[in-house]
Amino acid sequence: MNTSFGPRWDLSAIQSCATVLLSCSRCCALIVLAAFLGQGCGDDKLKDPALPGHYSVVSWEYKPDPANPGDPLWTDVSSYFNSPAGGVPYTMNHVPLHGIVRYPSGHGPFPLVLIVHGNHDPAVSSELGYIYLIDLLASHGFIAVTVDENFLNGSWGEMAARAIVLLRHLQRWRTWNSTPGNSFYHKVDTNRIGLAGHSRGGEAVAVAWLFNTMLNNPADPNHNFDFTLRSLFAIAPVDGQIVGEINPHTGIPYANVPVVVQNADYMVMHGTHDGDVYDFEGYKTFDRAQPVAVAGTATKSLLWVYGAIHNQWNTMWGTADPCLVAPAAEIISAANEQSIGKAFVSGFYQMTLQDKRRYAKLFEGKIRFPSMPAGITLMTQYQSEHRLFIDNYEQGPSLATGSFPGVTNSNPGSLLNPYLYYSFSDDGNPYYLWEQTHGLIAGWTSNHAEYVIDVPSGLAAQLDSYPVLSLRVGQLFESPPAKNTPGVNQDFSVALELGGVITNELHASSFNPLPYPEQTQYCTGDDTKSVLQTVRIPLREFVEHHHNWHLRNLSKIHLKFDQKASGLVAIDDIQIAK
Amino acid sequence: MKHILMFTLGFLALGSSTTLLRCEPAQTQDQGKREPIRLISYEITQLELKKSVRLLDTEGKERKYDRAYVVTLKGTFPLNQALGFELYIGDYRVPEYGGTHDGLYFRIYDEKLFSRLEDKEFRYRFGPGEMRSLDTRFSVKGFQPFKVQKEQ
Repeated sequence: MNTSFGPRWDLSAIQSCATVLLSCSRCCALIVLAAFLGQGCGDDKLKDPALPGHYSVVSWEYKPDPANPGDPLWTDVSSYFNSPAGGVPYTMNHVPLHGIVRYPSGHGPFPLVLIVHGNHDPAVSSELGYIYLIDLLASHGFIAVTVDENFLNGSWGEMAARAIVLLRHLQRWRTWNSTPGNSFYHKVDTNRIGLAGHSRGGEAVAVAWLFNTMLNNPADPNHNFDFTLRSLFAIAPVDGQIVGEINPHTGIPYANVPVVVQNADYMVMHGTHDGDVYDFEGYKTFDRAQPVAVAGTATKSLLWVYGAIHNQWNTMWGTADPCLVAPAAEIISAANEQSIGKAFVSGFYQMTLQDKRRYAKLFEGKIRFPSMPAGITLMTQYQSEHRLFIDNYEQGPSLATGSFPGVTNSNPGSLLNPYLYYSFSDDGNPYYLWEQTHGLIAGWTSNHAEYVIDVPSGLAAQLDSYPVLSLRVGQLFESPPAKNTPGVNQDFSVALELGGVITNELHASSFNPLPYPEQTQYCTGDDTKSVLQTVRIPLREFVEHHHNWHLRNLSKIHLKFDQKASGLVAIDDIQIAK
Repeated sequence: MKHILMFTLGFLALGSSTTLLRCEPAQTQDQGKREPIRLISYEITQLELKKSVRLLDTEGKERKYDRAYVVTLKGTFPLNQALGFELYIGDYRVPEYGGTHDGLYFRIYDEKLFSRLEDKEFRYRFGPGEMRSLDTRFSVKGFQPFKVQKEQ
């Protein structure tokens, strides 16, 4: 299936270009205009994040001296895990802090990103599988490290140790950064640290984020953490393997697990054809991240790649997963999978650690760069750190009551059927939702069906600060097909009521398409997933060309299911946002 | 070694393709088949530790152990992938284990655990799947007196 992403013109970008043009002399304006036509403006000015940046890249590798047992690059994780797989050449009280580094030439300070692999044959050097990512990151101005945790592979109960090893690496980096004469003295921006992990490493970065504060003990050199972990990127992660592991400091299982990420930007990337983590466990981590009851402090993003498998994100893990997910013909090549990974990993860290916030458009699904192979459906979800929930469906089963005080919802004429408050975790029939959240299931067979949200004036007063209407919505897979048509995008429209005025309708598909779910078959059965997509509509687009229409008069939001004769969708996290 | 029935899970790769070809598949059918999970045999030995281990028990009290018991399972288990293979004996969840060339091993430090585990079934859960039996029961009786090994 091919989804074309036609980025809408960003009005503010055009206005910004126009301002520049007007502020120049005529000659200067011609030069700027030529540049505009040649290189684009607004979104087009964003560089393709998968292409190399302008820094020249230096290689380095660190590991302990085998002849020096006191080398600080040896560390002890035996209290967290002490059952290494056969063939691992280390005891767990003496494991290496080994990293392969790419860094930009220059004085810095540069943000630091650590990438860690997941579980695989311990005899394979899994850390080598992300050289393609650290090369790219370094060229964009990051000190990027791929971390060797092969000594933890081929075993179970080691999730805490995976996280601790990452934090021990960060301790070394902090020391190097503060040691005069060290090559990295004052070269590391320790206020801008990101972690990325694949597979079990994907959960390990969230656990490291938790342990960074939970196990922090300034008096203990082995647990003096408290790093500024600003962004976490999980590639096809597992979730919840930390649950049940014993905290050696208390003798009882860890508290606050599975991890609920807060105050750090979180991103998860996963493929429809993952033949290892076939249940898309990172979707649950994503759902829990930036919890609805807490004021937003960080973003969360999700990428669902049609045809991507598990192992191809790592160049050392081959092109086959433990299970071949059908239809095999839909599986994309390793080169295409890694191209997509490069764009999103690079874009994410540029957005979150270099403050290039306009890369949010990548995660909003509003831009697609030339490096991203055509013909591969990419579904995205993005939540800004600045958001106010209208309906997040976490206050209980009453659909009539919204999340923002005073918001009420209705289904006029009961034309929506089903109209159902639902736990999005059936993991199969009837709706194929694999999440950890609640939301609305809405179906229709009449194009008069609507979901109407009555909005109090208190919410309308916030629209200056939150100028985007955002919701997560997706087609639901049905077996057998009924309301949705396999292979065909779904659509609906949105209109606002501003006092007595009803605005023009805007089509959801103009902001993000709603593809039909990819039907997939894992070794043990159907693992099809209905994955949602974020639709973000700038509110100003409802009132364009109508100077007497004012958003401050907002009284109702209408989701009108009038674009297709029938349909069945899941909806969650209706909010106003930045 | 105690020999037990083989337990086979019929993991078969389903290869039907219902959609149009878009590109060459990255993997073939043969590559994507999963080996069946099975436990062939197990053994319990005593290990004299090179260095004593201090561990907190569930009451938070530190205890010192000079030896451990090593339970070694022979069989086929999915150990080198992301999804977790959780091993149970009855309701006891083996907290950690390491893979070997033909199975896995784990340690038991507190011998009081033996009475709790005696005659309980080896079971497992693989990823989000159901709990399944490995069709054998744990017993220390056949291994006493324990073979003693020294930790290398």
